[in-house]
Amino acid sequence: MTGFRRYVVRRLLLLAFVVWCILSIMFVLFQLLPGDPTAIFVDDNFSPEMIDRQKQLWGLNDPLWVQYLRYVGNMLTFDFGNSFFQIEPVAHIMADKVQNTCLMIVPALIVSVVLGTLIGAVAGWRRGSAFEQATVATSLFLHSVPSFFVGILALMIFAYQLRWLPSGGMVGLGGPEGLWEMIASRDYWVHLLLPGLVLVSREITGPILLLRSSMLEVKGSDFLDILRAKGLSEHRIITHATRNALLPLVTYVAVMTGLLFQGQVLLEIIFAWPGIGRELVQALNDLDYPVAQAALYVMALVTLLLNLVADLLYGVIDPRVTYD
Amino acid sequence: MAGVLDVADLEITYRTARGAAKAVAGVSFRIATGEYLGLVGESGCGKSTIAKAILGILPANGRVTGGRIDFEGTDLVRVAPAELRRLRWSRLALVPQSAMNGFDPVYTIAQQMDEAIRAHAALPAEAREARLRELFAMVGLDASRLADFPHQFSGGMRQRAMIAMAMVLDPTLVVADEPTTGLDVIVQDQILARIKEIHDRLGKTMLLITHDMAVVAENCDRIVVMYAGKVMEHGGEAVFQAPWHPYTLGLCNAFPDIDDGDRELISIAGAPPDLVDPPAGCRFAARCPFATARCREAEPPLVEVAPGHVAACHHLDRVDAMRERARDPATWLAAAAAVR
Repeated sequence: MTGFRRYVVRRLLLLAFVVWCILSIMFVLFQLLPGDPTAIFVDDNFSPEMIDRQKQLWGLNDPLWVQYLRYVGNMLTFDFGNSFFQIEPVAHIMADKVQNTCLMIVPALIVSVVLGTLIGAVAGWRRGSAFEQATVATSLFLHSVPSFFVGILALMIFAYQLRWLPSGGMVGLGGPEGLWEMIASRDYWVHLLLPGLVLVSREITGPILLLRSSMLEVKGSDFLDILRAKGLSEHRIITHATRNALLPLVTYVAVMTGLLFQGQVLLEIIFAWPGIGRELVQALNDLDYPVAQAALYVMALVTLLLNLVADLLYGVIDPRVTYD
Repeated sequence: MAGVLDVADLEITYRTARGAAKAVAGVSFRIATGEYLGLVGESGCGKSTIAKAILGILPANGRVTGGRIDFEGTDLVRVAPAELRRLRWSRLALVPQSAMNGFDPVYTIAQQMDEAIRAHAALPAEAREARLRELFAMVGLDASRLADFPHQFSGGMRQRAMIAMAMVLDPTLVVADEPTTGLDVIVQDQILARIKEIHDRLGKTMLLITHDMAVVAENCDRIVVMYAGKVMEHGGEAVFQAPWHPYTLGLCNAFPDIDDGDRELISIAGAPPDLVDPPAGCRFAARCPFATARCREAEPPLVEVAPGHVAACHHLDRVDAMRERARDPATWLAAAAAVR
């Protein structure tokens, strides 16, 4: 297991390096961004002294390398400063938005992966069947329809025409607020239903198509013949095949989660879901630098961590992977 | 002698893009209890297809289209799936081609052997564990390696583990389908010795499928020579000591003789016929140095040439002359020229 430990250490060092790169690139990008951050709250009527005092206050008069070091230090300790517009530390806003985004994507992710795996495995196993053909056709269709289109369509039908479901938000007015109260409430689930289903309708196609093709590959394996010759039940044989077919899914799910996490700008806007994607767009429009920076940073971190988890998990589920 | 396996008029057809290919076209043979039968022939002659049919693992495009496979009184072609599942591994087991990845890569060897026991017998965990250790010892593997994954084994070890797994339920019949392909020569010998030992010591009935005439000569009691889906010759040791069929003569030429190391190896030129559209007459005629017009028109029947020894050739009456001429490489070179 020492090989494994060495691998983890190496992987963490690499992670640190990538984080540093991301921080530096972001620093440069925000320096290059047109417009001065002070322009947001410095009025034309301010005297030059007042402007200077503001710059002093925000540390904008310091040499660039001092600003850079301070910035890196703050980011690493999750001290994102204060929002220009919301009177709240950005760290709190981020925690809140991350949680909200998770409240939308995690249930959709679980449903997509579990259901998609089952459907894809069966489709691959029953190659050439009507079920397989229907599954592939439907998946390709759902995969190619933009989610904002499906989202708006779903809104139109179920929220505005039929009026079965709320049109947006995480909970109704005066609804529950804490995380656990929300999860326990019917209100949250009713609000989640539309965006959740729209999300699933798209995200489920990945695991389905991947599992199907990976199952087709496994189906050619010799060991399945031996399992059959051993007199095992069909059910046991499919279990063996699926276990083998699952290997590529692990990496896929990690990448998919990362993309989901940062990719819900459109759905969050359509369904008025107060998530991190919507927050980022809002912050960029408002030139709310601290919030935009923090949102980008958090998204990058989540993606990096998920990839790390996938790499480590891969060794657990595939005994052939060694860390030497 | 009671028969363990009785294959009668077996026909197996593959659906291919070009049409139906009859890989096995009317093959019959029996294996008596405790017998070691060798089934030889070159690639594509249908020998592995027969092994797959016996175990019911033909690929999806292959089907038994005629004949019977009687195993201890049960017709394996028509048996109900539940009954077949019960018979598999408990009564008839397989040692697959070693080049084949017979083990599931994500489970340990022990798990996979154990799985076979649990599918057929209700034994306490300690008894199963003891059985696995016993079998590993039998094939010369260290019991501490039971918890290893297949990829941690070398090719030879994997094949030994495969033999151990085949024996796990003490089956009546063991089918070994080219068990030594892809292994180096020394390991090949060890594997074959293990199989022979199991046959001799435990009195198992064996069916060995191989392309190697020398292996059969060394190990088997009886032999079936197949060519292009048909039996050419079938009998006891006499088949390789004094062959009657030109194809067997050719096969014997193609492998080194232990007693006569200086003998030149001669190959049979040409390739087996197209099974989608097989030629009329004898299937070997196109490559046979002794073929006449009659061979290309009428298919020769299997004729008993000695008690328990049959061959399918129109020219059995001139067997002495054929044996004589078959020793001369020029005979086969002339046939090779004719093939071209």
